[in-house]
Amino acid sequence: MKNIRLISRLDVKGPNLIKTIRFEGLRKVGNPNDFALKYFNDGVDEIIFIDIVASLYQRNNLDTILKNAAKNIFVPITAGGGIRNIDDAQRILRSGADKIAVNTAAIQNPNLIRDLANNVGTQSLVISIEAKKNKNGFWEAFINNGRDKTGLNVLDWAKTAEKLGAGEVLLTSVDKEGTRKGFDLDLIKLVCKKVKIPVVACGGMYSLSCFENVVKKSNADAVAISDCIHFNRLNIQDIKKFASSKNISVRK
Amino acid sequence: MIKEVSIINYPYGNILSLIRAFDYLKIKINLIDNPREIKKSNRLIFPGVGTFPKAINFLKNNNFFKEMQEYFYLNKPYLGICLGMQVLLDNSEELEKTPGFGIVKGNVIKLPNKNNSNKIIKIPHINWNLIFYNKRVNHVFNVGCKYMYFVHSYYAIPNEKNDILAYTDYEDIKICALIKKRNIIGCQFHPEKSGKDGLKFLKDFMTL
Repeated sequence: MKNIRLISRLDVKGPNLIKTIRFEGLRKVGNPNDFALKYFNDGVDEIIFIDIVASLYQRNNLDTILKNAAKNIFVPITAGGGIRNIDDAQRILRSGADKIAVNTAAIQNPNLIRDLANNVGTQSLVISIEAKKNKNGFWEAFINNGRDKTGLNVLDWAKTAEKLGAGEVLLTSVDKEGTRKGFDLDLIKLVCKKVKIPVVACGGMYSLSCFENVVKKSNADAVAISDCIHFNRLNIQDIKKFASSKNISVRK
Repeated sequence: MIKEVSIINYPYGNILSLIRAFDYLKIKINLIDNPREIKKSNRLIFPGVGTFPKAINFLKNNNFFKEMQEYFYLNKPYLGICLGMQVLLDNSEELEKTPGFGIVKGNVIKLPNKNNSNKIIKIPHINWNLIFYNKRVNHVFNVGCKYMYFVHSYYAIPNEKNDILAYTDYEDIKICALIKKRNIIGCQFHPEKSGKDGLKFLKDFMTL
């Protein structure tokens, strides 16, 4: 049996939970720890915290949020944003995260993936990929929270990251993120075919049918959601009940 | 119920979650930096993550290995989580063949990348899966067949089926989820990350 994991993704800036659209137009939503606790109590399978400005301003505010989360949340926690080296990774793990997600620093120095995998283990290392379809018809990997292009083809980069030791892909569509327009199914399908590590689909979830679509059509292992739960349009239990009714295995 | 648990202060990975889980259960924690403390404890946990050789090197270089052997000899309750379970076996093939404690006969090997139906299996196994108990042995945990959180690329293959308390199923691969030899226990899943049922499991360990 494989159960599709339902993950709540919480983007933070400073002490605040925020929500963006295509990584822009940031809105404050509330206290990230309050929201995380609610999702835990609702039965979420995992929580992702991403510090959205950390890589740009070379700082990291996640520690406090993680330490607070560790007090009352007993599901896996992934943290990302601004992790540049092994020391950063160790600090984040010791603050209460189980996995670290890297993007910008890994693209700038791919060997960081190998070093991190050797140090924290593949199972704790998530490669976060921000994908945007470009004019040449391929998906390009972006860094600094969807701001800067890299010229890298997402499919090639995902494969490289897997080879270097990443244990999971957090795949966010920059085009769909926060838009409430559904997942980028083509992108997710292709990445799932390309790699043999678990893929977390992220960006665009707005309805129950969206969830069914992405799971059944793309072979994603997990689905990360934010907008639809932050603003109370859906809740974790409803999504899980719906999944079961559509023969999608989830943890009950 | 025993009111204090000793946890080996393994510097790699997330040990804080385990500490907070026991805080939540209102059980006192003795974080062990000095291996000599091990013999004073009545409930010992090694929550290893990362690679097998690194964990063994850490235990040997810091004199934990020998103290743990003595603790096992006295048959006081031990709980190994994830890698802390795997080190109980004879050997692991992770990175390079490395001997473990050999408390449970058998080896630790990489998860197969295909199942019997030739379906590609994603590795690491990162999933919430139901555990089910081995009917041949008495299960000592009150927590029933519940969903537990797994994250691993290698898995234990004990030689003796009677050493296995529970299994899980991942894409039709039967994975040993819980082992027990006398009072020495190991779980492949992470109880500290398995929600309220995981907390119950940890509480069960304290009442053994």
